[in-house]
Parts: sequence; C-alpha cells; structure tokens
Amino acid sequence: MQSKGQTAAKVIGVILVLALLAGIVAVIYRFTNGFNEDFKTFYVEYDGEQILTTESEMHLVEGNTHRFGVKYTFDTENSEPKDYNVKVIPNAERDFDFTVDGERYLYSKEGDMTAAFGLNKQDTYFELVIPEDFSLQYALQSCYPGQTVVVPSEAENGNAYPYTLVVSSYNESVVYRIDLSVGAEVTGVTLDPEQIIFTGTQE
Amino acid sequence: MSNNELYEHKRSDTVKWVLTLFAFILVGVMLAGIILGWFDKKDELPVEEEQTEQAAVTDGEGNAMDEDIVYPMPEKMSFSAAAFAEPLAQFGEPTGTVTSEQSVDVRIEAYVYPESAANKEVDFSVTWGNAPTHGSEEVTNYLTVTPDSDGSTTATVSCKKAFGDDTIIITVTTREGGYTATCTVTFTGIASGIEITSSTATKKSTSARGEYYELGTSKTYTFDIGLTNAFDDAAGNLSVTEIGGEGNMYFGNGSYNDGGYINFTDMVQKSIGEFADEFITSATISGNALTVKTGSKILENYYSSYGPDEYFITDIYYDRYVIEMNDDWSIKDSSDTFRNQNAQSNAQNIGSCYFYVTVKDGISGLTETVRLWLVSSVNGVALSQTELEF
Repeated sequence: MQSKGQTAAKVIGVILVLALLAGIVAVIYRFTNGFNEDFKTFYVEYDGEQILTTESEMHLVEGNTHRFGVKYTFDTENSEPKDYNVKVIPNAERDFDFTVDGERYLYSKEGDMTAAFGLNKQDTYFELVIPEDFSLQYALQSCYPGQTVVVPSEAENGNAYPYTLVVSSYNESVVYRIDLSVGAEVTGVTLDPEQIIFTGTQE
Repeated sequence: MSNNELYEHKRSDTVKWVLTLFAFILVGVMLAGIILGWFDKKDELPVEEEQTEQAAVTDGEGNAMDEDIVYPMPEKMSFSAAAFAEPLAQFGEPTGTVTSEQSVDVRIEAYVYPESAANKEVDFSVTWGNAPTHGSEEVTNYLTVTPDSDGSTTATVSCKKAFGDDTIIITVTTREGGYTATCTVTFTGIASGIEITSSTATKKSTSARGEYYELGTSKTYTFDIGLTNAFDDAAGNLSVTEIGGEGNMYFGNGSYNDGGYINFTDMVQKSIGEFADEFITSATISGNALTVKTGSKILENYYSSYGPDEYFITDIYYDRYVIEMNDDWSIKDSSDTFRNQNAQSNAQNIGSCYFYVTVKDGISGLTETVRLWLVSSVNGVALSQTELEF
C-alpha cells in the first residue's frame, strides 16, 4: 500500500513529465512554423523578433540602418561561427521594363540588387543601409553605376514589395525569403470620412 | 517475508520515488535552461542604432499633431441619402428592411502619412461613444468594420441595425508608430419611403383613375402615413402640402324648365382643383395620422350657389356640373347638340378625375399623394310600404 508521500511524488513526477513534453512540443512548434515547415536549425532575427517562416514580408524605413541577426539554433557561444548567404533580388509582382543607356531590361530578370542596400555582412549579423529617398530608380541606378538608368514612373504601382531579401544557411539547407518594401517613416494617419450618419435611406 | 523485511522494502520504494522525482526535476531544469538559452540568444544581438525621433503627426495639410491625441478630420463629411442608393441595391427590394444577415455598407479609407511611408498597414477598431444606451450589448451587433485585407487602409463599415442616439467611434491605428484617427458614426432615421393607407376608406383602382380611395360625402376618414427605411426606424415631420383636384370638366349656369329638365348657359371648362376644398373640406395631420373630412356634394351634383332668375320664374344653379339635357322638345337644334357635347365630355372624363391630398415629410423631403373620389353617402332608407295588412 502506497503512502501519501509516494502518491504525491508520483503526481508531481507526472506533472513534470507532462510539462517537459509540453515545453518540447512548444519549441518544436515554434521552430517549425506551427509544424508546417522543417525544423529550423538556422534563423534570422530582426528588431528582437525571430523570423522562422521561410516566406515573410517586412517594411524598411529609409534613412535607417537595419540590422539582422543570424543564428544557428544548436550553436553555443563557443561554437565556431558558420557562414551564411545574404542577397537582395527583385520581387516583381507586376513586372516592368527599364532602360540602361537606352537598352531595355526586364526588372524580374535583374539578378542581384544587393549593391543598392549597402550590405554590411558580419559573422553573426548583417546590416542593410537604406538611404533617404530610396526608390526603384535609386536601387537600379546602384546596380549600374556610371550608366543612365531610366525607370518608368508607374514602376512602383502594383509592386508593394519590390525586393526580396534572401538569407540562407551556409549549406543553403534553410532559406528565408523576406519581401521588402522601402519607404518613409509613418508620421500620422487620417480617416475619411470623419463622420458617418446612417439614415437608412436609399434614394 | 518478515515484518522487518517488509519495512525495509517499503523504505526502499520511498527512496526510489524520491530519486525518480529528483531525476525528473534535474532533467526539467536542464531542458528549461536549454530552452531559455535559445530564446535568450536574441539578447546577444548588437543593439540597433537609436532611431531618429519620430516626427509629429501631421494632418492632411501638414499641421503638427500629437500622437497621443485623437484628432478630428480636417473636413467633415456626412453621407446623404443618395449615398446609400448603391449599397442598398443589394437588398433587392426597393424598400427592403435590413435583416440580421444584411447591413448598410459604407466604404472608408485611412490615409497614412507621409505618402511614401513604408508601412501603411493599419488596424480598425469599433467602440461605443460616451454613455451609450445600447452599451450593454456588443457594439459589433450594430456596426462592424471589415478591412479589405489584413492591414488594409480601406475598409467596409457595415451598419446592421439602428442604434438610436448613441455614438459609435471607429478608430484606425497605424501598426507603425501607433498613430490614430477616428470617425464618428451616428444614426438618424430618415425615411426612404412614404405610404398612405386607410382601413376606414375603401381602396379602389381603375385604369383611368388609378388607385384611389372612395369616400362618402359629409364624413371623416383617417389615413395612416407610414415612413419606412432600411432599418424600419424613421422619424418624420409630416404636413399637408396640398389639397387639389385633377381633371377639367364643363360647368355652367343651369336652370330647370317646366318639364323638370335642366338647361345650361354660359358653359365653360374648369379644373376641378379650383374648388377641391368644397369636396375635401379639411385634411389635417396628427402624428402619423391624416384625417380627411369630405363635403356634402359629389362632383356630379356640384354647383357653387343658386338663386332666382331675373323673372323669378325658376332658380339658376351657378357653376353647375354639366349633365346631359333630356328635354321634351321634339325638335333638337344645333345648340342642343353643342350643349350635350359638353355633357358627354363630362360623362366620358369623369372616370379619370380625382381629388387628392399631398403629404410631405419635412425631414426626408418625401411626398406622397393619395387620390380620393367622393360618392354619395347613404343618408336614409325607406320601404315601399310602411304598413302591410293581410
């Protein structure tokens, strides 16, 4: 016959095991994007938030330097830093032509636009330096220095996220694609109309 | 097994349980440490450069605004009745009432500044205004705001039912910076439809006169004025704007000859609206009730006045409605034919004549006209014989 102490010990033990299992499940859940993706052994951090989904969107404010941390999940402080890959490529939801010294190019075929983002790559983080008045014109001009680049004025239309930041682990087993929009910092909002009067009338 | 051995066995079990428990705690602490270690890694990130101070909120004209204060919009805007024509088209029925599955919808849009802002995503929320009488209910039972997509600056405001004198506040908040703007929503029941009905008068319809109510002479009738809108909640300010008549008929000065037949002189065509107030003697409104009183004559028996002729032989009925002359003369001349043409015209056209009362709602501006026609009221009854003897 079990004593009260034995029973309590068993109950506590079961609770601990369950808590342990719950903790493990929570960690797996988080690093698999809700069990929808493979377990992430590599991830990106921005502004204190871990990016663990392979495809996401982000707004970058121009005139700022944006720092992204890169982490290998099972690495410790003493681990040898592993390399990673980072680049910015076009994300043409609505493609357009632009010209370089009069020669036409298709935006979606533009390979690497990283030069426009002032990439500063370090072992455990990288930075994107976005100048003031950043635009598609600026970005493409940066890719063709010394040449005359002409981007149509309507190029921005329909392209809410014109760029994609691609960050991958050293062996490219984990790849994050972050669609980027670049613009000014929000300074206010208004609502139109300010007043609505529902009358129930129809004519 | 001796008692001593049994005691030793129990003590051994206790030790095993304590050690198991200890092992679990140890494993738990280790795993917790690992987990915490993972999540704490983000703290090792180099601190991001201090961001530049946010500019003050600006309105559409660039005037500075404090982010902690909810500002009214630079310009006010209200939706006229016409603005609801399109949204209400979804109801199908022209005077449809909003059901639990339907709503009156209005589009609103938030403008995030500056125009070149990178993150224009916003969130909409809905709350009751001050001291709402419907505050015990969820505001979303009355009004919802649905963005076109997550973070969209455009949204649909759906009013599901009337909320009286309460005020509902729509707030839009930018996801970056947390700036807010508001839109005040009120309800004012304005009629979109007006209808006049009566349970005391007889409603009839002919192709010539259309729908009309048949009224007896020298009587009082009550009509109900119904104001409707999509929410079945409309206030009104009703008044009678016109009592009139539609139709042109011949009137003349009539006198009866020896044979008891009427002759007409000075016949002219007049609009019956000129003396409509002698048929519809009053039309008044109290609340949503229209009270109509009728005169003592029907049109076919109308005359304005009468008096003896210059020879005091017979009476002349002035402005008498012209009816066909059925005299006993054996020879009819052309003037007879002419006079009877006027009577025949009256007989042919009286079916399309009517009197009317027009009612107006001062709030919505809607008007409604009810057509009326007078017939002789029953004013007595008699039997062919008052006494029978068998």
